[in-house]
Amino acid sequence: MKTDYDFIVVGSGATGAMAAQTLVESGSRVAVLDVGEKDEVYAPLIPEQDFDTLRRSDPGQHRYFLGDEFEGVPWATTKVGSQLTPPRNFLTRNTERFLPFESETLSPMESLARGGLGAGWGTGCYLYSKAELGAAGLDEPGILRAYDTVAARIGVSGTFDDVAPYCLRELRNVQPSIELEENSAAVYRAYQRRRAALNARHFYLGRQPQAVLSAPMHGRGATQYRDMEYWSDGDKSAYRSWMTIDQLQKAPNFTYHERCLVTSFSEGPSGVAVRVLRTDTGETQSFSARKLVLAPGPLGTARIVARSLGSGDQTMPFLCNPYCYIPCLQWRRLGSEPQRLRSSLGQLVMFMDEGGQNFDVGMAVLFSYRSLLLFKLMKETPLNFADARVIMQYLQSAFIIAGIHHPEKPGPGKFLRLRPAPGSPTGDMLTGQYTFSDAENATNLNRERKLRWALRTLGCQPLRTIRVPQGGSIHYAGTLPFDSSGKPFTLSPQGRLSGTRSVFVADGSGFRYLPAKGITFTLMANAHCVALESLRNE
Amino acid sequence: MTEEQQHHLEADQIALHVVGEHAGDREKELYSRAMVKLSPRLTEAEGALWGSMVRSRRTMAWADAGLALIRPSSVLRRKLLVMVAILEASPGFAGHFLPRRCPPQGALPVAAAAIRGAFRGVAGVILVKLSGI
Repeated sequence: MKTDYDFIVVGSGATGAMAAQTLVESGSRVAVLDVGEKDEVYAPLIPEQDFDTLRRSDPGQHRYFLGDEFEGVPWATTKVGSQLTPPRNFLTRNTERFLPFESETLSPMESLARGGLGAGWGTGCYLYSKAELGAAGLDEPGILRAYDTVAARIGVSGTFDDVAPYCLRELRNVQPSIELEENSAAVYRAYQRRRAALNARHFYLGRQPQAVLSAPMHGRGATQYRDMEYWSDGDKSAYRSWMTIDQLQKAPNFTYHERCLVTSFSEGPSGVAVRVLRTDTGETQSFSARKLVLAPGPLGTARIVARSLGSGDQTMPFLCNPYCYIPCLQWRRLGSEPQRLRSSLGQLVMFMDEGGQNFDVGMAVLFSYRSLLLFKLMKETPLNFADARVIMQYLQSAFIIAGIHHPEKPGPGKFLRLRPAPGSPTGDMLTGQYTFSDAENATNLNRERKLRWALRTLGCQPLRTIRVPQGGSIHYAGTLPFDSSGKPFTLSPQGRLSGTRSVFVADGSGFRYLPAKGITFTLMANAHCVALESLRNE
Repeated sequence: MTEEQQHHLEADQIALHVVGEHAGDREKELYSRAMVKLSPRLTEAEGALWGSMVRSRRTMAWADAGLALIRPSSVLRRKLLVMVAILEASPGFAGHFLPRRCPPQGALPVAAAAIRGAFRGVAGVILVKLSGI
């Protein structure tokens, strides 16, 4: 049987794009099947200017800042995805319809966008330690080589300071960090002064490695410090997965099929048949390839695999980092001179390594607050809007938001299950449960208490702790854990789906452990390794 | 008064309350469009209080403060928030929302706003409770 392609890759997010690039560079005929939602309304409206200048001059700014349907004026209580700005709302477009999910304890965010959730990535790049890679089930030498490859492809800026052992290790191809904005710079200086006390209690602070260019690379420019990263990709300095897809579309051996929601696959003697639901017409379609690489994310992969293997009532484990954020006031910055040119992205990261083993560390990413607009903060105060405005205007330059991530292990209360749902376009619905043991809750609360102490020591007074529903970290893994025994619903250590010859999984489905450190960079490295393995396995 | 005229009046009163200036035509138009799109539904008690807020700037400030304390999710606060967002995303009003450096008199404006806010809060809680919301 002649197949349409050598490889079909499902999904165009961080993992799909990276796997596809590796396969295309090998000379294979590669197709990416993707729904490919994108923003065609707001992106063209945003002038290539900095945030401050736009705010003072663009009469049309309400369209992209607030949205044509005022979807940028959130009202509901804190929920996963509520941080998306109108130009980023396409990330979750049509997910409720095509990816139905039901749970009382879990609210994951999924995407059908071109570039997947990677289109809204915070850009933090973290290399896992040897212990973390081992616990996740990843092969250290292979992943270390892949980290270098990924860094050379996407561009990583960073500094080899106190946090390098926790996030940069010995990564090559690292550009210098971007310029530190002044609010974060004040925290960095405080750390230098209080370093001994903080280090004695196992806290380390430094520059967050980022997939943001400080020097031109691969046709992309260095950051222009426009403070518009939450709204637009104007200067293309921050890496987005769609950039890789755009680049691959210039290659003759690559095809991108949009409006294709992959529902299931079946293996034949000479390859894999992939069934697709077209999201534009509702028709079904079929593609064939010698091999299939699944990369729609752990939830998407769980759906496809459960349908294809006829799971019945099979439960699949699931992992998601517990996450909360703590707004803080940095008193020494009160009323200081506002900085016009700067970056919105988190530029500092703090690790808490009580065991001293670079394992089970807690992490806080520190952000300044400006470009997400003041009215969202004013709404959270117990004051009338007039007085809240005056106060927040002066306090704004002193706000530091600490995003706290906890490491996460599997547990009996953390699982997914596919159930029939006759009303859904695919005839089914993913359901899930995510509950913690008392010991896990106590460990996380204790870690947050210690992180609040560290923030205070840095001169950042925590105001409150805001918990987002479980799923809010948008770091997902573990549905088909790596397992060399070959039992169903697992992956081989090389990423091949058990019970299949030609189906590989390049997203985080195999990870058996989730460090607190952001997962995206490691996902990309793993996707590269899985793609190499699928080539080797010819 | 048409619905649109009513929306324009509301927009103007909210702008006076929040930034101390009249709203421009574009801001009034955007507010009206938002109200049509979002169509917030008010109970009888909320409608009565809202009418008083639109008629009197002081009532607006007190009720806003009271709602912020005891009914932060009230639909009346949502109407206010929409107009606040519209003002913030307007070049003519952006200066009222962008970060400011500390004035020569130090933290005085912040302290004054906090004290005023607290006073309005106390008065506002009584007002909101009396209104039956």
